[in-house]
Amino acid sequence: MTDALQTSDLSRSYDKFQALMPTDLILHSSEIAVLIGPNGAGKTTLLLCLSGLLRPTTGIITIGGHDLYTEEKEAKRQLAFVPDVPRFYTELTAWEHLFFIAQAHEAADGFSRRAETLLREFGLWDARDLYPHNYSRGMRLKLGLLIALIRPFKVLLMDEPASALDAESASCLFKRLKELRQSGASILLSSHDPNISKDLADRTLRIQNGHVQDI
Amino acid sequence: MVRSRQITQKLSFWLALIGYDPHDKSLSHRIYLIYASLFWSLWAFMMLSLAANATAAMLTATGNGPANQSAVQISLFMFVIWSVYQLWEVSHRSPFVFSEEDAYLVCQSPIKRSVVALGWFVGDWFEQALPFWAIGVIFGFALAESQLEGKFMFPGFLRYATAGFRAWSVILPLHLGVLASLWGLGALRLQGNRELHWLPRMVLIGTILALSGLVWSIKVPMLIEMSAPVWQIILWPLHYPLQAAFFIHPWVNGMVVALGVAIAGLLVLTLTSENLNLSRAAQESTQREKLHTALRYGMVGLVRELRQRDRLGFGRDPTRLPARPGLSMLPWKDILQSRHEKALEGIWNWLILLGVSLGILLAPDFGSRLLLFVYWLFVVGQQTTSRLRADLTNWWMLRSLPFQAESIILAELAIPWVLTVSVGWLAIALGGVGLGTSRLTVALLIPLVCLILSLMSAYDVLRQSNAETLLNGTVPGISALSILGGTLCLAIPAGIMWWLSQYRWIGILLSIAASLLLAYGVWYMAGRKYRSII
Repeated sequence: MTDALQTSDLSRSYDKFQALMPTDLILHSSEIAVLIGPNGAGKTTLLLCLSGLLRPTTGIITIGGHDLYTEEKEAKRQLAFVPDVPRFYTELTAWEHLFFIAQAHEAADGFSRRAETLLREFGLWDARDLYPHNYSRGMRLKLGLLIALIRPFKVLLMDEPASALDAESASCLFKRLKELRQSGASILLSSHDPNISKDLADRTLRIQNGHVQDI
Repeated sequence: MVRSRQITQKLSFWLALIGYDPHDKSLSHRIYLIYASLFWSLWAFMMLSLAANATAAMLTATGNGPANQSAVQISLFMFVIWSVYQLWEVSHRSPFVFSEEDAYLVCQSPIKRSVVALGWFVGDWFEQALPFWAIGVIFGFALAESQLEGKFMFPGFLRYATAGFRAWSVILPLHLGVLASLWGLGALRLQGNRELHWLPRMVLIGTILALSGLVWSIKVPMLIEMSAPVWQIILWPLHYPLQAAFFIHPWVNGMVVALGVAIAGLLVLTLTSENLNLSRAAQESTQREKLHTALRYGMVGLVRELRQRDRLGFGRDPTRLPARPGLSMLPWKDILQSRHEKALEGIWNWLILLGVSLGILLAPDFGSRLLLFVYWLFVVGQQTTSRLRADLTNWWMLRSLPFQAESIILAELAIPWVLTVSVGWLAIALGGVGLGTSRLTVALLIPLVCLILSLMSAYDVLRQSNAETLLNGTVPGISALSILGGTLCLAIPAGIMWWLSQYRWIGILLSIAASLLLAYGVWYMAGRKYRSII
């Protein structure tokens, strides 16, 4: 069976600074892995490389067996990413963002019902027709999460998803993640919170000075 | 303390522009500061004198009476118009502009409100006063020049400088007093938690009444005589000092009145700001402060985004724009964004393109046409890549879309390309009479020319893009490569046409084929660049 996400010799450097040492990483299906490490250890760099937002200096990334750069269309269909500070289109409301992403991923069937469920679950239903620049930081992060969750995927990458969430929304997110795991999705998220690793993780990865280790 | 730090920062910005670093304490650097101060003072004096030269001619030519009467009337008119504008501003939004940092520091500290108000006023007054000082000095110089009648000897220079100083010394307290009283009115609106809804309405009604009174006074001569005493009384605090500044009344008298206006204005500001609600002022102004800072540092993208947010407001009902799943969602999003942009800038840019296209067709000589053509290349590059550049600011969302890089590039360029071609055709329809039978050929080639240019510009933007800066929302603009590359790509099919000019249609077909081949090549290169953004 193909692994959900696989990297081989993945590294990234900024000029002379090696932010990510050559890494071979495998994320299995139906698995939640939590990436921990101190500030500046390379967590965000690793996630940005895996999501295709930052081109690695060396190495190959495959998502569901598809190379992220040579078979980008197939790979992107299976990959979702939530940054720690998401940016949005100024002229689109929250609802229109969800609609745009769902339609672009050809996941229009039952969109309204799915969007309503997600928006209500994360407490954004009443703010669905607002422009995201009027949202608080936590609300923006929630919208970033919903943009990932509104369409199908096999691999979900998240950069500190609970950092700006209230307790209720965080528990809602964790419940969702467990459901996603049961449905076969693989999730890799970074966090500073040891409880997340304890409650949620099937595997914990530690990153320090760009070196990734299983613990 | 906070305010003085801000003023120092502003000063440092201007000093940095002339190459002076306040942190460098070396002797050579201090000598440079003296040199720079002398140089710029002399430069300012020369510029003001130059402006005074033209102003002197204007004052004697346009005025009904003596030159100093004209100077008084013009400066009074400017003062009134500026005051009405300021009155409108302060009755709608806080004149006290706080950044987010100021809001944290000032709003939570137990400081006397009037001290904060005066501190903020002084910092902003200086910037607003500069144009009035300059105009006052120019008028002063101009009046001295008209008296000197072109003889510029040393005593003449003294007279020149004295006239400038005389005008400046009166306008300084006068402007300070007027602005302080207007800010006082602004502070009155921001008292406690009360919203004085009547204030903006009163300002509007007052302005309309005053303007209609003025218009009727001009239309009906009898009304001029009747209303003149009223206007004289209302405008006396401004009129009298200005007359003194420009030699009609003694300087001392004018100074006394101007100082009286200044003291009264500062008193009004101090009294009305005793209960100033700093939090409300901060709420109304932090966004404006962000905009000012972005403007000062030339962050064009951020300025546009902040203005756009301001225009859009809070939210709206969802769109009913029909949508089809897949790649066509990118043009769907572009149309939706364009519909809600509410910015004149968008239309203005297309009008510029139309104007330049017409200019190329109608220009009388080859040199002007060439210059306009180079500018046209630049505008087409800018316009056709506008959507691509806007979407690159949302790199995380754009990159997550399940489309090939080449398809994304085409989808981003499609709508601007259609508009650019339409503008080109419109220009041919309006001004292409002189083209004769070539009109059809040019119209046929425009879509291909725009396609090559847009792809070349997209390649140029992607070539300069960097993933880290894209993640921060910063996207590069087009560079000279777009123009040079575009010119080169256009020169090849144009050369084929010229070479085969005897066989016109073969030439046209071959140049179309060459253009398509070039467009495909540039498109392929742009796709590769998109994928390899590091």
